[in-house]
Amino acid sequence: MGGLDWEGNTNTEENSCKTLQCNCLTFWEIHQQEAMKRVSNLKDAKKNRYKLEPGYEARARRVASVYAKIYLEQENHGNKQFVGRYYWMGFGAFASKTVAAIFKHGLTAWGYKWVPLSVVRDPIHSFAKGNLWLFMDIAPWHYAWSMSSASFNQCQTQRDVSKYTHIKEEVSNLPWSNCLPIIKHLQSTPEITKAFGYLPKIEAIFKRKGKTRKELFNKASKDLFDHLLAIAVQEQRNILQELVWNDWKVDAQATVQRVTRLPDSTLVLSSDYFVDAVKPVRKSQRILPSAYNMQGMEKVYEGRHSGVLDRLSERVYSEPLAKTKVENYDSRREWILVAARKYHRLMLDDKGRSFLEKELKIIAGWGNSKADFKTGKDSNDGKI
Amino acid sequence: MMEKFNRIVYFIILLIFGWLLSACQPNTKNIENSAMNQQPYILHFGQQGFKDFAQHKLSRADSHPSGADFRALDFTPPNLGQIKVENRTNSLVIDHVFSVLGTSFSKDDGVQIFDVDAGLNKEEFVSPEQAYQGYVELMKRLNQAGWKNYVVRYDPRIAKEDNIRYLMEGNDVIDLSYIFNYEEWIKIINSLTTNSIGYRLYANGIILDISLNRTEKNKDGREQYMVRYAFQTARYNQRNLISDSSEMTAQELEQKFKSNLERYKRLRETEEKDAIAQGYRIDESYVDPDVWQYVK
Repeated sequence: MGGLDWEGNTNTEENSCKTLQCNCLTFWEIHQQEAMKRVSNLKDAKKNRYKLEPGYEARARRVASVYAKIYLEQENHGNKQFVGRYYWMGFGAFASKTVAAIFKHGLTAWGYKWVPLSVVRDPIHSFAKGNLWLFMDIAPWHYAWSMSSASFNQCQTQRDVSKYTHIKEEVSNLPWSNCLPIIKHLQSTPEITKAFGYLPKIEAIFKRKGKTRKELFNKASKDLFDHLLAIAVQEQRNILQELVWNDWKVDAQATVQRVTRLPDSTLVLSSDYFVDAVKPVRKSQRILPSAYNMQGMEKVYEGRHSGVLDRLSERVYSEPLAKTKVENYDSRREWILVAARKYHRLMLDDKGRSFLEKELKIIAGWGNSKADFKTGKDSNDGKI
Repeated sequence: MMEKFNRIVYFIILLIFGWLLSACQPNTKNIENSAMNQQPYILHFGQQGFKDFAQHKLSRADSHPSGADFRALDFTPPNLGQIKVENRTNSLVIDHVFSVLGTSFSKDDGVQIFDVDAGLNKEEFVSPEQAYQGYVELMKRLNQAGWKNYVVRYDPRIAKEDNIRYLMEGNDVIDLSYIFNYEEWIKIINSLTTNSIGYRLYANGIILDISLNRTEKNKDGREQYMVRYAFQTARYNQRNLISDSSEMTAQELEQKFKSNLERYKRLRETEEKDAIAQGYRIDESYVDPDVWQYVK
């Protein structure tokens, strides 16, 4: 069993140049390594030595940061003209932030610390596994498209982690790498083909000059939404259902969570961890709420959201539906569709999109998050 | 030993919570029966839309402090719904419906948007021939209901003769009246990397976006299709394209609408020049619908 340390295969010599013929497998290894770097800390610049960030919350924050940066075209080979084309990435950033919030939640931390039973701890590890390997799957596809859509199309079917040569050991040293056969070594799927198939059309629309962003988003509306839904199937069914939700312990914990609603799994479309931050509060706390005193019932947004959220056309959070069973793929998909529609409606509106993109910019700044506690021996698949 | 103990503890917890949960669930059989008996579900735009949802047992509502209002109808397979979206002579009946979401951002305007998720066929997985029949039936229904292609004001008016070429280059279908024959259909749906085709239609003050999507193809060659319908009033669509339209006076709105028309005209001219340069023909006879009557 390996540790969390790994060494990069890039040239560390300053100002040196070497011509290399990059085959398709190497093309994918470069993007895979880039994803690994984002969730790792550089330990030795001379040796190009890294160590995976061990904190689950810190890692989920970094993942959210990369997703936000990809949406905002701030990542490698991003193109400002196309901000918004990677529509799922904006949505995914808020979802990964929700995972970080669940790790941060007092009950999760308390349960992990004081209840050393596998039924309590294993679901926490499973969520961390899903978060990490979903990222390992989805980020390199996007890096590759941004670098060259032609190379993406040429190399798409050749991505296969089991055939990597340069970073084979580094990838296998990642926690829970034994899950790779289950997720088919991150090979291409029909959903990836479909999702990226929408991008040329979206890009062609976004390239058009003389139109407002609202007009561009309106024109590309169907394709943006279809792109998002195709990636949602890829991440929810092909990756997370296999790695997380099929585990009976996760299933059991989801049943308990559904009744207790702790920790809260509401998707909050802002950089806030908890839903209360985006809910209005009664203006007058001194007067008891009463139907006879409407002034006392008036609600306002507080803090940085004051004067912002009250101008939006709808709430920025989506609670699971009453009938949602998150552990069941079909049931979870219904809720995701409702939440995605909310995200889509907000994105099609100038004020809504402006709010979401402002929040994504905040999340994009979380790229160097680090754990503020010592990781337990049973965490990260025992690789410390 | 510890693992076995853990499992026992969790199964007991699950049994207790499971019992509590089942006690809170409505009787599934009753829901299904009511779904069967109440079809088709008739849904109107405007104020009547709220009343339509309210009278159905399968509906759920979500009102926001901002004034936004969401009403939904959900159906559970195998008892999928049949709805009729009322639009005078252009009303449309939709089969195999999973869900309908009615949205209102203005109390005065009532329901402005319907998002409908439906299957193309009754069965989830069908043969390619059955899928094609589903497509043909849908096209016939849309044509019979009088829906026409809608060209956004700033888009080029590509001639219908170039329909398939335009589609294969990643655009929407621009000729609703032409129903692809089986060979064309198979070629199109298999060649497009998205395995989907889209339409933007218009009838009587309502804009309808359709996305017809092959979502699965299993090892036996059987296919699953989903159809997403997004209806919106032209009033909502056009006002939504103008930033801060809700805060404008009637005069300001008209001025902005007219200046947009001028801008769109110039954009369309440029787009059409580009299209001609690429060998496309332009449909000069296309007349933009008069949407101002709904916007003002």
